[in-house]
Amino acid sequence: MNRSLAFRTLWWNDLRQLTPVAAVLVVLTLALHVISLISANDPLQTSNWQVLLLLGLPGLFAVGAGALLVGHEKETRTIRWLSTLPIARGDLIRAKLLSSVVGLILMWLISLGLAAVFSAGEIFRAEMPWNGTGDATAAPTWILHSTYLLLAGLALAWRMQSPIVGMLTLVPVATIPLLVAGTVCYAFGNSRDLISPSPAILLACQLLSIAGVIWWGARAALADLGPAKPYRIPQHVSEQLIAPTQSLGAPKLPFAALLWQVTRQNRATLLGCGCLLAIAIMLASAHAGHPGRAKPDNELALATFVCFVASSWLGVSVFQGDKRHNRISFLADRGLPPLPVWLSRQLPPAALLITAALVGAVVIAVNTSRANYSFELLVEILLLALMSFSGFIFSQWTSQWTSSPIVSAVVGPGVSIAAAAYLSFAFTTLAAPIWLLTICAMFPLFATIILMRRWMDCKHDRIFWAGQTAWLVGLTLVPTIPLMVTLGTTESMSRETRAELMAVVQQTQFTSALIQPTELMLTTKQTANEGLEGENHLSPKDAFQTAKDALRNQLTSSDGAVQVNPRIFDFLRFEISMARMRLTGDPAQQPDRAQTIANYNELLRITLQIARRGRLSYRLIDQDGADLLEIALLTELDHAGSSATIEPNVSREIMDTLRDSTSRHRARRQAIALSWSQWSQGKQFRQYGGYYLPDHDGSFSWQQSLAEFRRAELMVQTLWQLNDASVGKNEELRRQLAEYWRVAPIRYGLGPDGNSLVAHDPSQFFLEMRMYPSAPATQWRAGWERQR
Amino acid sequence: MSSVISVRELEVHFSGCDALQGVNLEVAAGTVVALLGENGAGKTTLIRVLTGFQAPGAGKCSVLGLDPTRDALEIRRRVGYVSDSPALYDWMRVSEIGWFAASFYDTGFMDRYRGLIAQYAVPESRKIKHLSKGQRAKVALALALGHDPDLLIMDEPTSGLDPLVRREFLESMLDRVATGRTVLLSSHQISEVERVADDVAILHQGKFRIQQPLAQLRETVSEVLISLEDPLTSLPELDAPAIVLHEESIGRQRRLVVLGFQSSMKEAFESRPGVASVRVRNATLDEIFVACIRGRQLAMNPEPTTPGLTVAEVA
Repeated sequence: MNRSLAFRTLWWNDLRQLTPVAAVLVVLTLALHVISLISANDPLQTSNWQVLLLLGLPGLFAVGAGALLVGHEKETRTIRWLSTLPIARGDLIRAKLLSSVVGLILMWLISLGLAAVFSAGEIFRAEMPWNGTGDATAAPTWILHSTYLLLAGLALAWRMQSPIVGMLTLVPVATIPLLVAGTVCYAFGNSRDLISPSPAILLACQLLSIAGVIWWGARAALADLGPAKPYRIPQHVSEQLIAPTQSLGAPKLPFAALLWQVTRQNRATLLGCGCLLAIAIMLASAHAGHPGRAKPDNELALATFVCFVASSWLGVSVFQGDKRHNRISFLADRGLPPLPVWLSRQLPPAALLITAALVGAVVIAVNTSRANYSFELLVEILLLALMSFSGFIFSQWTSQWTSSPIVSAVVGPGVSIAAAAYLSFAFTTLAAPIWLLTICAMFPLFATIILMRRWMDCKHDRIFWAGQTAWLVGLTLVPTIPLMVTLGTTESMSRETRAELMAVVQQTQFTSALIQPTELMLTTKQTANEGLEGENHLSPKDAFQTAKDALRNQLTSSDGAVQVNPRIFDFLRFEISMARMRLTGDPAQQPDRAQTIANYNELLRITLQIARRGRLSYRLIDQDGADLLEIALLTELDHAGSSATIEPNVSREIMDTLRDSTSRHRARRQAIALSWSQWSQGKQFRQYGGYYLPDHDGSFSWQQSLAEFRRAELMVQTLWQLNDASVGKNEELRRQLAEYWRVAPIRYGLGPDGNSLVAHDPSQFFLEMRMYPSAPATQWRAGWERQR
Repeated sequence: MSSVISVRELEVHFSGCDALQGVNLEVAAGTVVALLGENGAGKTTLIRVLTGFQAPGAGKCSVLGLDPTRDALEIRRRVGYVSDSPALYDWMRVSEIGWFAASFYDTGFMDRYRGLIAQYAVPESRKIKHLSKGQRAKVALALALGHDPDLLIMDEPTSGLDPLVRREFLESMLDRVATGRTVLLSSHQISEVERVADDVAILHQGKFRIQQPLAQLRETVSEVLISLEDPLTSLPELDAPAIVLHEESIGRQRRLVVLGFQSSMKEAFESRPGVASVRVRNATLDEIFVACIRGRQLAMNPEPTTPGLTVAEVA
């Protein structure tokens, strides 16, 4: 026999057996990464989640590899057949060890690759969980721990009869390095926490534990492959052992017999998972009851992990217990109806889970001191319970369609996590209501009930798989119904309006229209550099001169669009008013009247220039600012005595501008279209034309984002219509705008005294200096535009 | 007598093979019908259709007056079914599994079960996983008989069992038939079928080759051994009602298995030049079975000349 060929063949056989579970885990991890990416709102949460996925893939593989390679082969007796071949026991054991280690390395590489791709490299800068200091030893710790899990899993699989019992035993065994290290640090070091040892001690304990399980596993493997020990059948079995069947007589209720059968059959699993749940309760209770600990999250995290694994494996036991040796045929052959059989499989593990939840709630409530009661704690415990139940529900579904209990035990938790991630994505991002998600979370139960008959008859045909797929598709699509409804029913911008806006955008494509308007300053660089602000401020006269000079210089140094912001508006409005007030009264009492008139006219010119240059801006807020400046100029023209104080050419220029409603509407039209283009392309987050869009919901869900987007587009359509509308429709359009922008209707001149806030009659217009527009188009189509 | 099982033009198709191709079967009450066939003939498929585990592609069937497609659960409750590899809870003891199964049936199950277990000498306190193969088979039979079903369907129940256990099984069947119950037995243990069967149906490649009462089959099928002086001597074709089921040449001997062989045909052979001798005897069921499986091209005979006899074309 060619020994190396035999060894390679064994290795190939083992890798083949690991491939399905590895493939499923990779696909699940990929799906979870995608969900994480799509629903990314909080970068820190996303980072933590990606770290969990990075560790989860190799971790799950390590837990399942031993059970699959050894436990499953023992169950199907293929290992007995291998033993009959001329292969040395050592070669058989080494082949399994080598293939599982190679598999683990591959899982780590794939996991690291996926994490790097989906986090764009950020994952390697993020802190690892369970180690808030971001210690450099955290990564080697986890790699070593996964290796330890793998080897311990193999050793337990050789040692134990049942692969499920082996996996259950692995959970407490997995904590040995941590507990030993913690004990050493507690006893000989400064640590006051058993589960937070120093990294160096932990590493040392891990290495020792690895060596220990290799030695123990090798012994167990050699013993298992050696001659079997004879079974001793007791000569005189006590009557008490078979008393229940003799003393109780035939059971009257078939359901009671089914419950007895499933509980006895799965008692090891029920007991093991019960112990795990008890440990989880103790950990959660410790987290809740001890304030001010250095790392309280470790206990809660461990409790969550243990609880989740226990509930998942309880779910796996629902159907996998009957799959062994096709035991379910016993019930199918006797024509038992599927529903009582289904109920009897579900009831014991579900009852255990519910009991653990109730006991846990009581224990935590008793152990938590009053000071530590908080809403946050309640939410943590509730989430823990929800996760556990969802783990159970999805794992029991997995166990119906997977053929091997080990694959089910590994894939079940993975599927549960993926489902939980998707449902929370559906809640936060798709805005699916809780009641709908609760129904969706029940889909796996419905699936297993409906397909129970086919499962009992071992009819794993196309109909069976189509049924399972249909439930999975339903689970995926049903939470999107609210989004679809929103998509279908939310009114959006009409095609005609969209086409008109696009036409304007395309016309301005190669012009300077989209250049950012210049922000005007009221100071010069010199005055700013000389510190002539604040305490060392200039005199009002000098400040005015400085500001005027600054504005003049900025306006002459460029000819493009400018921003018309509240500061500029306040300054101009105030100075113009002050200048006019100085010019009222007896001219004989005004020695510097000529200078005042000159300043006044210069201010008017500057105001007019800024208004004209504001019209060049693509921002709607600058258009509205220009409106206010033009209204202010009109107010000055309308004042008594303006003919004596305003120079004729200035007056003429102002009138020309005010009369040019065509240019004004064109400028607004362009601003509406260009602002819409910038906003809809995402170039200006939550801003439209310089205005911050109101948040109608506050959530980050896609549904609300879609609704918000469409609402905003309707608002743009309303602006477009208002700009082009005849007088008749104006009031309704203004009402719609006021509603969207969440301003009182009075701002648009609707309601009592509303007209004073819209310049229908400039002499009645209540233009307060600080009343800068918080919503667009408040002065559009008002009386001031109809000056002749 | 009314039919306990009735099958009409039943077809079952799987991808790549036709498991059953238009089979017909009638099982009268109070009879033992043996379903014979080689591996892959379609016996288990037919039984799975009768017990509702497999839906037919075409045709109709009824068991105890019920349709297996609609009333599968009711049929399984009323028949005693022993599959080829019965699933038992190996962690249960013999007594426990009987106690467990008793909950699904009427009162009396437990007593009958325990009586059968005692009769088969299977230790009640032992776990199923520690029983030998024969003991497991006996437990499966006891579980199937415990509710005293009118119809017992057994799919190769004695496969892999020693002759003693097989004998016990057969005696159980005889006891049942004596009380008016019906047994459908699928097997390829010809010798034991010969001992217990009333009717025999031989299934080959999804079709029945022969369906006839066993006694009649024995009388009507003969093995004809013709010694020839010249191995190349041609023999005349046999006229109706004779049908050659199988023919082979062994040196200077020609061996025929013939259905409906007449004495006049023997004289015709003997008078043929080149024929040294002709010996005729009744064929055993084993020989009939082999002849049906190996076969020879025959004309289809839609109008059987012998009452109750069906012979189908053999490929």
